[in-house]
Amino acid sequence: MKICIHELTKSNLSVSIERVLETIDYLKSNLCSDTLRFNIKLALWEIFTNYIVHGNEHSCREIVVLKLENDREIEITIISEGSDFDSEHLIGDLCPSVEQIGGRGLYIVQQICDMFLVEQRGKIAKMVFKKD
Amino acid sequence: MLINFLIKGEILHASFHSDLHFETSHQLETELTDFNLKDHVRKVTIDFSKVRFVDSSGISLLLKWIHPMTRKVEVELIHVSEPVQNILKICKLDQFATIRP
Repeated sequence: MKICIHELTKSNLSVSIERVLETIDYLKSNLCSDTLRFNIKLALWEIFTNYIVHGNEHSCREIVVLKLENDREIEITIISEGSDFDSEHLIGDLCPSVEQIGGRGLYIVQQICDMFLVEQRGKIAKMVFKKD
Repeated sequence: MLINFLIKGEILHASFHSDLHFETSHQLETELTDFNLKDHVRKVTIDFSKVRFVDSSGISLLLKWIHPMTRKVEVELIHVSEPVQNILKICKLDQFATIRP
């Protein structure tokens, strides 16, 4: 399934994420845990906010979200047609220290996904979540 | 107000009234700038019962507020949902504050 989001900004962030979540059948199932629901929302939220924060005029021209779902997992690929971000600098294996002000978003996404891949300076982000 | 404070004896009770994320963290930070921990306070409890969602901006705000406070007082986060607990633990907040469901 393909979802297109035009002109992502701070004001339509929540609505845009809800649009993607509504397409994931498993999230409507009683089998889905609160933690998995939360983690998928959080992962989308962190990637989208990166596009807004690092985009021109705090927006991203267009985002395409591809969703694949089978019996075992949910795979989400996000393709940005506008903004990117310095994914190499922002992703690390170590938890940022408590004194560090920012830079936790992609670390958190790495920890909550079963697979997380970022390519082309964040223009492509792919994440996989195993079903409960 | 997105956060309320109530002092009962030596305990300060704080409670959030919204989720903690990119859209609310700026206002919360402004509210917390005015926060001043009184000398007689020995313990701070922070109620998360109205917090359903936390992102990395919210975590940064919590760390910036809570970590320095733990040098003086015991800090306990209460009514924290399981998904939020998981994120707080990923960011090591459990190393200096108690987190309870």
